[in-house]
Amino acid sequence: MSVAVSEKNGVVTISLHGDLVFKEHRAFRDAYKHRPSNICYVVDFKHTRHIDSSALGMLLMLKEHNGNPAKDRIKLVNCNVQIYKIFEIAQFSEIFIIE
Amino acid sequence: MNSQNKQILQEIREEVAREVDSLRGEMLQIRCLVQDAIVKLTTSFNGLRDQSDAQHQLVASLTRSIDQQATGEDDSDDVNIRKFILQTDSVLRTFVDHIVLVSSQSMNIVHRVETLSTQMAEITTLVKEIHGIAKQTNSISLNARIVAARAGLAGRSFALVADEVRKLSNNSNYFSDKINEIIGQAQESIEITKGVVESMASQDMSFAIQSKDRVEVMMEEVYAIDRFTEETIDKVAKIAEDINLRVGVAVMSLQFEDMVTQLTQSMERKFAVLEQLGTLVPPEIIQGEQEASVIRERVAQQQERFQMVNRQAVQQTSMDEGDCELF
Repeated sequence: MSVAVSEKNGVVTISLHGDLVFKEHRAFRDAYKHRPSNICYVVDFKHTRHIDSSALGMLLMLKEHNGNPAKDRIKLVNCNVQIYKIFEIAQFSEIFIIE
Repeated sequence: MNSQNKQILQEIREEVAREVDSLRGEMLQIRCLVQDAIVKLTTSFNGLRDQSDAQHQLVASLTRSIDQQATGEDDSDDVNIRKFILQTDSVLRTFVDHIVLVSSQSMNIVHRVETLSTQMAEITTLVKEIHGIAKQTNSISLNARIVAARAGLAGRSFALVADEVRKLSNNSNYFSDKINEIIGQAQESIEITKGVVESMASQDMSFAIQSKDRVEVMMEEVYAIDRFTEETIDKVAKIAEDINLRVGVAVMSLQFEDMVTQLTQSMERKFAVLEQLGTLVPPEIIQGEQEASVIRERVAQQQERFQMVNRQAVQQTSMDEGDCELF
């Protein structure tokens, strides 16, 4: 998997290319670890087919790094049905914006 | 002659009285039969209405029970499918929450272990520096020994110091190597730890999706069954209402007993009038022996006819006697 990071108008977009599983944790963390807290993120799952539970942990760590602000600070976009269902079951819709 | 005529008239009167009595008896039988039947029919219909009411109550309680289940007000210990499914759903949710928590804590550990690993690498770099210093110290001590040798006897004590410095340099190298060795082992432990944490953090989520889907399908099925049950109960309730209505009409119709009583009383009065018929005729109306014998003959015939008809009458006083022929 590769992670493409871009920033536009204060919004950091993390585009994932491939499945978000445990071994990708470093690449994912590198996308945000030197950034300040309380900024806006968009995590794009357009090219992601599958995630496992470690992806949930990674997203929660991103949220924690961002200082746990209001849920609209982090958007999870372009999720396929399977990924959307996992977010639903994990009740991520209460802490992230899922599109 | 006159007394003979009186006797004939007396016989006629007696015959009329007998026939009227017989009619009266049959009329009484009819009244008894009708009363008996009305009592039994009324009891039967009232029983039917009670049963129908009981059925209605049962159906209503069933509806209430279903409504309570639907709104979750049912806090009894009864086992029902809906509760079971909801509990399964709640267990599944708890399980998923647990997985999310473990996963997030695992990622936290991994991040800290990574930092540790980086710090270990920094120590390795520093140890390399120490190694370089030791190497330099070693070459300095070597130079010192050469200079001491040139100085001869005067340099002997200096040569001892140079030897000590070389020993220190060697010791320093020994400890640096030890530190490197331990750091290597620590890095291995860190890798193993990461593997363990990875197995904790990486749970396949498809089981949760499948379980959730199954729970939703089951919930749908239960709702469908509930809808069907409610519809059926509604229908049963409507039928019960209809039965009640019809039984009401039947019981009301059975109140014709009053009319039967009135009619029989009227018949009673008419019989009394009829009995007076025999006294209306004066004895002088019969003239001559021949006419008297003709009248006697007719009275005998009348008696015979009446007895014949009487034999054919139903010898029954109540519904319990005799067999009822069913068509």
